[in-house]
Amino acid sequence: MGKLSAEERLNAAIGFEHTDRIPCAPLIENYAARFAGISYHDYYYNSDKGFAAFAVLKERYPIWDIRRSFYVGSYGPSLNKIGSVKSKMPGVDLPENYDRQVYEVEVMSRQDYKLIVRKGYKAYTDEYCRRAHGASDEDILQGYATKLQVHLDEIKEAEKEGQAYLYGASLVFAADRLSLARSFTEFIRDMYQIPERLIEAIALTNEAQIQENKELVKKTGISRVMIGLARMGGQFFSLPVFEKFIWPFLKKMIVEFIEAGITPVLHLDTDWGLTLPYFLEVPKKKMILELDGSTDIFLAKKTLDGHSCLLGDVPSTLFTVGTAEKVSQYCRRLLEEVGAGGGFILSSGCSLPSEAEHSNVEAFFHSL
Amino acid sequence: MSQKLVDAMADLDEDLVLSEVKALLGQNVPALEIISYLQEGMGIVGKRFEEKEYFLSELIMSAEVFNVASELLGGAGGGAANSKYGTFVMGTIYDDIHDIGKNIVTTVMSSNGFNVVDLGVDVPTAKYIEAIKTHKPKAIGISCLLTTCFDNVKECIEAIEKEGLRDSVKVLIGGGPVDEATCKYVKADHVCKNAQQTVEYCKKYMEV
Repeated sequence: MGKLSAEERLNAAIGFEHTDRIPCAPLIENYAARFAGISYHDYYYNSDKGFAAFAVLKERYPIWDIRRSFYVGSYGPSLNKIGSVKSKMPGVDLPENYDRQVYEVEVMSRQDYKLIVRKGYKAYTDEYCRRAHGASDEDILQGYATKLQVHLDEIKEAEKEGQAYLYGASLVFAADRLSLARSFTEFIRDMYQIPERLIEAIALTNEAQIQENKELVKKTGISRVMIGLARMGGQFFSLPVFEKFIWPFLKKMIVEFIEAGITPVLHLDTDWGLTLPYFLEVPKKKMILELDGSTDIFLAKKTLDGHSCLLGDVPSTLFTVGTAEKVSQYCRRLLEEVGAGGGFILSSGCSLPSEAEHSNVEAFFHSL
Repeated sequence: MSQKLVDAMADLDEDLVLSEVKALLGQNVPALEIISYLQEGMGIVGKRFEEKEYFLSELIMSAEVFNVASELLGGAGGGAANSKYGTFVMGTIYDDIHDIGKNIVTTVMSSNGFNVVDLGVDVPTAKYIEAIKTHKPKAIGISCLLTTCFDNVKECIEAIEKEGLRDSVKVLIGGGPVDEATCKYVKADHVCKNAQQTVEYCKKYMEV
C-alpha cells in the first residue's frame, strides 16, 4: 500500500480498512504552547501565536497527522462571552503563564428549563451567557462570529501542515450542557425531583444541537462532530438512569448525524466500561470513541471490535510522572492489541499535559 | 427503631424520609436517634455503591437527602460533638480551583458521621498545617484535578512532614488524573477514586 494522505488514513481507520500506518492524534495544544515557549496568555488570546506553536511542534514531530484540537473552544476572546462554562484565564484572572482553569457555579435555575420549552435552546444559552459572562447581545453575536473565524483559520493551518482536522464542529451533549449551567449537584437533584421536566429540556436541547451542528459542518466543510460527554458515563450513573436521561438522546444524535453523512466523534471522559455495549445499537464503522484512560480500552476493543473506531488513550500521569520506557511499552501494547485489525487512532487520554516530560512525549511519537 | 426511615434513606425517597423524620420528632424521638437511622440508611447506600447498584449520582443524592433531613433536626447531623469517627480535613491544593469533587467528598463524609473541616479550594500549605494543628484530624484529603499541581501536593506533604505532623495523620489524595503513580510521586498514603472509597478507608482507619 502506498502512502495515504492524513484524511485518507483517518477515514480508513474509522471504516476498519487497511491503512499504511495507524493515525496519530494527540490532544496536545497546551503542551504545544509550552514546547514553543509562548505564554499561556499569548496562546489563548493570539491565534497567530497559537497556530505558530502548533507548527513548531509539527516540525519536530512530522508523524503527527491528525489535528485533534479544542483550541477554538478555549480561545480567550470568545470563551468568556459564549463559553458553556466559566473559566479563569491566564493574564486576566490568573498569572500570565498559568494554564486556564474551569470552574462551575449555579448560573441557571430549575425554573429556567421553561425557557427552553417556551423560547428554545438558543434563548437558554443566550441567557446563560448574559448571566455567566455578563455578555450583551452584541457580545454574544461577536463571540460566535469570532469562534467560527478562528475555527476556519485553524482548519486552513492544519491543511497547510498536511494534517487532517478532526472536529468540523463540537458540542457539549445536552444533559452535560444543562448540568454545567445548573451545577452538577443541582442537576442530580433535578434528575430525582423533576425528571419529566428535565427530560423535556434534554430532548429539546438535543434536537436543537443536532440541527445547529448539521449546519455548522457545512460551514467548516468537515463532516465530523465532536460530542462532549465529560460526566455522563457509567462512573456517574446507574444503567436505569443512563437509559432514562442519556442514552435515548445520545443514540438519536449519533444516528441522525450518521444518516446525514456526519461522523460522530464521542469524547468519553471517565469510565464508560458498563455502557460500552449500548454503542453496538448504532450503525457500525461510522463513529469514533475517544477514551481518556479511565475506560479500559482493551475491554472496549473486545466489545466494539469491527464496530467503532477507538481513539486513545495514553494516561496523562504517564506523560508527567512516568518514564519514556513506560510510555513506549504502553503505546506498543495499544498499537498491537487495540490496533489489530484496524479501527484505532493513537492518542493521549484527553489532554496531553502541558508539563509532560519532553522525553515521554518523544517516546509517544516515536512509538509509531 | 424506624426501619421505615432507614429504608427510605437507603432508597433515596426524599419525601418519605422527610415525613418520617417529622413523624418521629412529633413522637419526641431524640434527634440523635433519628440521625442514627439516617446514618444506617447511608450505610446501605454505601453498600449498594460498592455492589455497583448505586453510582455517583445516587451517592450525591443520598447526601443531599441526608442534609435536608438534618436541617429538620436543627443540623444535628454534623459537628464534632456528634461525630462517630472524628475529624476529617479536606481541601483542594493551591493553584487549583476545582471544587466539585471536593464538595462531593465533604458532603458524603459528613453524612456518614465524620466531622468535616472544609478548607475550600486553592488551599496553601500553611492552611493545611494550621488545620492539622488546630483540629488534630486522623486523616486529611487533598483534592487535585490538575497534573500541573502534582508538585504542589508533593510540597504540601513534605511540609507536613517537616512540621513533624506526618506520623499523626493519613494523607489521602483524589481527583480526575490522580492514580497510584501520583500517590507514590507525592508520597501520600492512599488514592481515593471516589467519595465512597474515602468513607470506607476513613471508617476503617478512624473508628475508635
